[in-house]
Amino acid sequence: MVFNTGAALLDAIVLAVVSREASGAYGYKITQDVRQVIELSESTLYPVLRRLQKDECLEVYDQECAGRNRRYYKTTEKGRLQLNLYESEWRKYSAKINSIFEGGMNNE
Amino acid sequence: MSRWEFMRQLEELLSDISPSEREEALQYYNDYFNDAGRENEQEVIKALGSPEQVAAIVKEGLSENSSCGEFTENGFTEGNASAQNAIIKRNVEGSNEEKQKGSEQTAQKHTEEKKNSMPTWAIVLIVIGCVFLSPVILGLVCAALGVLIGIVASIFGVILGIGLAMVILYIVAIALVIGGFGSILAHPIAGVGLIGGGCICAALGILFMLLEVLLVGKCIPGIFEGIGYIFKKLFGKKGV
Repeated sequence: MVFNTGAALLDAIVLAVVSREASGAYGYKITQDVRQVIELSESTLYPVLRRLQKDECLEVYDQECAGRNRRYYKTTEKGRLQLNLYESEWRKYSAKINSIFEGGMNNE
Repeated sequence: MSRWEFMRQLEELLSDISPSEREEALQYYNDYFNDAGRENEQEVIKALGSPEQVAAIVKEGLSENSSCGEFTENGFTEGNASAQNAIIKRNVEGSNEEKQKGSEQTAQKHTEEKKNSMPTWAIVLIVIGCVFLSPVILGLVCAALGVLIGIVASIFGVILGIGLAMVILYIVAIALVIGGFGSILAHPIAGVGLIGGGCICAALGILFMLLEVLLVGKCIPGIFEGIGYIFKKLFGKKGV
C-alpha cells in the first residue's frame, strides 16, 4: 500500500478486529485479520497487543483448545471507549480527505 | 530452522528482559505456531523473520512503554506519538465520566481545542508584537546608521576642508611670490613684503599638508577598521 499506517490507526484496527468477537480473538487470528486490511509484518503485532493490554484497552484470558491453552484477547470497557473515539476521529478525518478528493471543501 | 529452534533462540535473545515479559512473548509466539498449524511452520518462521528481528521488536515495544509511562509514547513512529497521546489522554478523561458521555465528550473536545489553540495565540501575539515594534527597531537601526554615517562624513569633511585650505594657501603663496617679484623693482619694500607673505602662506600650506597626510594616513584606516569591528560585532562571523 502507498499509505503508511500510523500507530494510532494500527491500534484502532487491532481494537476493531478484536472487538468483532464478543469472546475475543487469539493472536494468530488477529494477525491474519489485520493483515487482510493492511500490509504488516507478522511480528509487528505482538508489541501492539502487549501495549494495548498494558493500557488496559485489552485483557487476556486463557482458554483450553485442543488440549492446550490458547491465549485470547478481549476488549475492555476502556478499549471500547477508545475504539469509539478512534472511529469518530476516523470518520471526521476520512470525510475531510474525501471532500478534498471529490472536489474542494464545499461544506466549509 | 525448526519451530523449536526458533523458540529456543528467541528465548535466549530475550534473556535480558524481565521474566514475566519473556514468558508473555514466548507464550504468544508459541501460540502463534500452534494456531498456524504444523503444516505452516516454515511459512510462519519465514513471515516472522529471524529470531533476532522478533526479539528486537519485542524489546522495542517494551522500551516504549517503560521509558515513558503508561499513556505516553504509544507510537511505533515517533512523529505520530504526540498526536496519539492527545487522543488517549482525551479518552482517559472521557472514561472518567463515561456515564454522561455524549454532551460531556463534546465539551471535552472543546476544551481540548482551546488548549491546542493556545500556542497559535502566542504565535499571533508574537507576530503582532514584532509588527508593532518593527518601527521602533527600524528607527533605532536607522538612527545608529545615521550617527555612524554622520561621524564618517564629518571626518571626511574636515579632511576635505583642510585639503582645500592647503590648496588655496599654495595658490595664494604662488600668487604673492609672483606679485612680489613683479613689483620688487618698482616698489622694493612692498615686493619683499609680498614675497614674505607668500612664504608665510607656503609655510602654512605645508603645515596643512602635513596635517592632511596625518589625517588621511591615520583616520581613514581607523574609520574602516572601526566600521569593520562594528559589523563583526553585529553579524558575528558573517561580517568581514
